[in-house]
Amino acid sequence: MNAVDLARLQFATTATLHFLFVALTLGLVTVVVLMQTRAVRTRDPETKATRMRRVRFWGGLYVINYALGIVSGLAQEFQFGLNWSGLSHVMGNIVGAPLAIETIVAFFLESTFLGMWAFGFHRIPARAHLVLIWLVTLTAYASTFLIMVVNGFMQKPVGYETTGGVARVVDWGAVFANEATWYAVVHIAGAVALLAGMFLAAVSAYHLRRDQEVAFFQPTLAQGSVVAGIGAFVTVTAGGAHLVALKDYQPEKYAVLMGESGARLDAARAAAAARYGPGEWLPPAWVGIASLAMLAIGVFLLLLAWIPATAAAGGKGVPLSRKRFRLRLAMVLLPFGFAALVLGWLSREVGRQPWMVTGELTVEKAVSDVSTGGMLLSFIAFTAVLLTLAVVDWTLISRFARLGPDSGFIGDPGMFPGPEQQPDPDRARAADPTDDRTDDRTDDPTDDADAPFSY
Amino acid sequence: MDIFWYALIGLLFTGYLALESIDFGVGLLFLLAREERDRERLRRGVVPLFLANEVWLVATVGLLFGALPLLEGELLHALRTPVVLLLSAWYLRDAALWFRTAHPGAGWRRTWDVVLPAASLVLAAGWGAVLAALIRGLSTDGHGHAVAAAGDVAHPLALLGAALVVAACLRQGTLFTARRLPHDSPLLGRLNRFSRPLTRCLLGLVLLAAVRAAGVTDAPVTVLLVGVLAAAGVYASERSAAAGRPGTALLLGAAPLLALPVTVGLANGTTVLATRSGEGALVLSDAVADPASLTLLSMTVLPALIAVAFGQVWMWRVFVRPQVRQRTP
Ligand code: HDD
Ligand code: HEM
Ligand code: HEM
Repeated sequence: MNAVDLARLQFATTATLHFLFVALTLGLVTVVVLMQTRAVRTRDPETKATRMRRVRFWGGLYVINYALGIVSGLAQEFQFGLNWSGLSHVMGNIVGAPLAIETIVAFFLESTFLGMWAFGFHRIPARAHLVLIWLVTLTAYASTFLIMVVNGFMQKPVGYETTGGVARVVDWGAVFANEATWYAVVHIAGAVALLAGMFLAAVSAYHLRRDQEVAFFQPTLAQGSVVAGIGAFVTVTAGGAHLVALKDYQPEKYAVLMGESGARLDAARAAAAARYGPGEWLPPAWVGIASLAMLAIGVFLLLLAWIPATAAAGGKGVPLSRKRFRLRLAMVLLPFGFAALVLGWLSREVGRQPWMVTGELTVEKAVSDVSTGGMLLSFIAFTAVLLTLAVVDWTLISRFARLGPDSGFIGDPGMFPGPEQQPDPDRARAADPTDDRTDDRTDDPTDDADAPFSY
Repeated sequence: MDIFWYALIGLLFTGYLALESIDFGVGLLFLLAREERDRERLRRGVVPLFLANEVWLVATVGLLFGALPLLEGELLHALRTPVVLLLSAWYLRDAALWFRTAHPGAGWRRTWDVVLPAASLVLAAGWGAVLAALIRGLSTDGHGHAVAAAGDVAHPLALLGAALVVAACLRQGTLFTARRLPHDSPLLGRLNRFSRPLTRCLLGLVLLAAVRAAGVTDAPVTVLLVGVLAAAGVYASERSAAAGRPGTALLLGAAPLLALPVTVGLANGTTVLATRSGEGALVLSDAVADPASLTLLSMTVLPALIAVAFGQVWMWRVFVRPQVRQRTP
């Protein structure tokens, strides 16, 4: 493997990890913001308390998930400079500005507000607290959009001119209105809704199968499956429209994604050679398989993702836990959503090969002048650390998802995500024989146990 | 106008260093906290804040890419190995702060209790060494690019820089923590014993580093002056702490951390990436982005920065200002 391959593999690894987590982050925050809005508008104190309890539970899972979004996102941001300096040399004027706006308009605000939201349940008045999570959500979507502006430009460069080997923007409007950005944004918005819906349904189904907290999880099973169904519909529709558009703006990619062969593939190859000069301008054939698998999963989920909702809705006489098949289905479907996500990115990004920026800059030319050893070092370091953390993070998410709403890790007077706040420590301790902690929550005068605001 | 963007990037980085010094210091203090209760107090003190602190570096790099794209490529290329190391430590530090108490196992906590101070040490020392190397100017590699060679980061000035930042972070962490600890905390006793020698040590390091740095730059008087101001800041910080004004002490205690990036700027002027031989150096006018890109940036980034400033001040008021104790019934 040479330095270019390693750089690509490194980006692919961190980007995939990043996206697996941020897609869920983005979906969950949307769910949480809606839940909290509803809770804050509720008058009846008891209903309000139940709804806030839901916000804490799902919000807690969201916050744990967020941690990995951040660390893997850092790996992404720094890689542009570390490994792909060709991008900044040639395209810096174009891709730099959206990325800068993203980091400052979106992340800077988002991180500030997220910390305040997660730790501010009792410190900040209810309405201001609600505004915080709204701001977090809006900035998260803003950052998604801005990063997709850069990615869209790489797929289909528009609104620029090149002089002396350096590109400059002549029309920011065109850069931001790029169809390659917008098709993907809508498709991704559908995919994250699908994912979050399936996650909600799967976690709810886990508890409902065991007859735990039925009143708490029954509504989220229904809501989750419905959201997943809508998400699947949006994803598939937008994906279909996207595919049609691809034919026009990335015909080589389209040919390979559609699994074309023989004369039609040769025609696409010849057309590319006519446009870019002699050479091989088609992406590797295997992305066709990845793309096909994504399509298949999309149709499969469209058909099945909403079904668990029917378990929550009808048949009041039968206990929910008896509807084994539909509850199990909710749990079985979730991994397919994650798989489709990765396959989709493989289609998009490998499908862009050999270009970094289609028709303008090849991947070979964009890579930094780094020795193979240097590239290997950063690849191993990033992959080892991020994979370990991803496993840790996912383990924690499933642990807290299984512990259920009383494992409460945010919003309590203490801090997130400490087990100290479990309302019934004896129960939790009995369940966990390795636990040797001392109970230290009552005697600490500096602990921020004072709660000037409460829901 | 170019200089404005360069200075703004410098400001963001300085903000990062000043704010995260507290987190690094608290991470290092885990070595002194032997009781579980104290460790949790340490962690809880910074956990609501560290996200908002570290994002200053994310913003620095983002703006660097937007406003000085060439510098971002060259700088990260030159500092490749240190940056990979710093990033890895950064991930682990974040994980330790987030995850430490997320699982009740004793082995789990013990693991993060090693990871946290180790990663904090790498971060503090690493930034110190990198900044000192930038003050001195980097080497040039075979292809005419600037590069931080092993000799650059192991140079005595770089080692001094590393020690200086570690000491300054420890001191900031101590100031931040001490006022949050109850009187009977065993850690408080240890911190009190440790704080005087630490301040003296920091003062010594600041002056030593200033003299050393003055010797390797073209602007010795300016560099010395910055060093003296930084030392004065530490001294004033100590007085404030003694007078019972921990907030002011914390603010002034950041002086040596501000001094490092300021010295990089003052020593090298508009040579935004300096090498000792001059070959492979990058000057501001070559690095800066196209006017069309800068216009877009000024319309979006500047208002956002103001919003961030308000947001972060609010955050400090909510989480750090001594709480007025009034329990709701
Ligand atoms: C579809 C959405 C999406 C996509 C394609 C990307 N990101 Fe991302 N990223 C997010 C959605 C997101 C997010 C949901 O908005 C995160 C998760 C946690 C957060 O703070 O924002 C995030 C976090 C995040 C962070 C951490 C910010 C912080 O400290 O708060 C960085 C530096 C990046 N990302 C950088 C990138 C880069 C350089 C990408 C391009 C390769 C990228 N992201 C693709
Ligand atoms: C987070 C979701 C993303 C995923 C999962 C993803 C996936 C991938 C994959 C699999 C590759 C390797 C392709 C190959 O070289 O064979 C790749 C490369 C790359 N992607 Fe992405 N990508 C994502 C988002 C982005 C975005 C938003 C950008 C730009 C802003 C981007 C920029 C790049 C670059 C610079 C490379 C390396 C060069 C190359 O191999 O083409 N990626 N990505
Ligand atoms: C029948 C259903 C689907 C169709 C027709 C479809 C179509 C597409 C197409 C054409 C692309 C590549 C676009 C490009 O290279 O510019 C793509 C990418 C992608 N797909 Fe799908 N897709 C479907 C289902 C799904 C599902 C179920 C998911 C995830 C849950 C998903 C997630 C993604 C992602 C994350 C990308 C990369 C980003 C993007 O280009 O939007 N897709 N999809």
